[in-house]
Amino acid sequence: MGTDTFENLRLELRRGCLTVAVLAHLRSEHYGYTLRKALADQGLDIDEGTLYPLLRRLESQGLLRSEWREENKRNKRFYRLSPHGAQILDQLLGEWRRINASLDRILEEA
Amino acid sequence: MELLDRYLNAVKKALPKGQQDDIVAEIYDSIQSQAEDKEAQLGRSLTRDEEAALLKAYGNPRLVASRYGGQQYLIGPTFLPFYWYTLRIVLTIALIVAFFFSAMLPGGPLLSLGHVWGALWSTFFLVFGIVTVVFAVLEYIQRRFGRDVGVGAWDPRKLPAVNQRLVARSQSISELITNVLVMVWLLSSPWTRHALFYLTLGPAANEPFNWPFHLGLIWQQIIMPVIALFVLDALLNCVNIVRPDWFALRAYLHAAINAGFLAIAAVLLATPTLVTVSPIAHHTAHLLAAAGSLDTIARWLIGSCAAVCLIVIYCDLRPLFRERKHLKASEVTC
Repeated sequence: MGTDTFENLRLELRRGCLTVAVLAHLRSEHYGYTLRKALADQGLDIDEGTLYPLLRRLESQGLLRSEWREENKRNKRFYRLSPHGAQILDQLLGEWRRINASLDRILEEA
Repeated sequence: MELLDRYLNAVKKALPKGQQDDIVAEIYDSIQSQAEDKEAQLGRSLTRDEEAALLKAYGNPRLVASRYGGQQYLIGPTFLPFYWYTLRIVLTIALIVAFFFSAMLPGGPLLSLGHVWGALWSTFFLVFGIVTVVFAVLEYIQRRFGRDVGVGAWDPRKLPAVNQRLVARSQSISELITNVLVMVWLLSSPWTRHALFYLTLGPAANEPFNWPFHLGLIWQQIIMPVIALFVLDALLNCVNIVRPDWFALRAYLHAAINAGFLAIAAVLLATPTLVTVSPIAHHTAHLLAAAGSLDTIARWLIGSCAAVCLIVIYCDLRPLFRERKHLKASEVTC
């Protein structure tokens, strides 16, 4: 029961953070597999079933651009942050910093 | 990788049309990249079991495909509370009406039980289906076109006050049951033959075709207005089940309905003859005296009903007048 509650809250907390992390990582171009590895190397594991639909959603919202290119004799879809995505990322990071600062103050008072 | 082909085929079938090839190509690249990494670590090709384990870890094909879909639910969290609320109320009303109407169908007790059971289930599924479809359409419109379809249309100033008078739902439901019961009884009478006997005597009127008494013509003229008033009252009950806070509307309308019954009673009492001896019977002194007694009993019953209507009208309007009086008093004090 306690574990389930923690797991649900953890997933809720991660959901928004993953979007910010993906947008931030895509300031430089990646295809899905290398993006997933890069995120895992930074301590943010994300399974393919979550990452690829997320990339498509962000692209449909105009935050990412993608193109198919051949690399290592295989077609790969490369993603990169769009100009609109860069603006949104800046706003999200600003919001993230404000939330973080508020949380720090609350925790210091407690 | 024969298993990979099978896997991709299974995913493709469940994907939205128009995006299938694009998504499958990306999943193919992702799984191939993983397989190549694994092969590089092991220094050999993957076995069939290792390949199967890799695909199993990727996820059930239908689940993987479902994540690329748009709307994943029929009714989302925004509409769900309104959906349950509506379903509860509509089902309650529909099941009450279905119960009484099906119970009044002709047939033996077992046949009636079958009618009622069947009617309740079919009503349940019909109402459940209709309400669900309506809310699914609203959900779709909201998601597809981003239009507010009513959830945002509320005003804090229009919410019921904490100490506001409410019509108890139990009262509305019990009155609805009574009204439906009376309407069913009235409507199931054999109108074209001896509706008026049925109105006063119930199913017993089916038998005595040689009944020596005859009801005055006035009874034929009042039956439809009586049914109309019961229908109006039942509709008011339905409104109050949905909006128990419409206390004043109920008070005024209920008083008006009872005033209608009162007017009908007055018309009946003003009629010289309510019960006479049937033209086909022998007009003996004994029968004439019995008809006179029945007429008197009918007048007493109608008078009693009129008195009840007057009491009901008083009970309906009294709280409103008291409230108005208090308001005036408080205005003067201010």
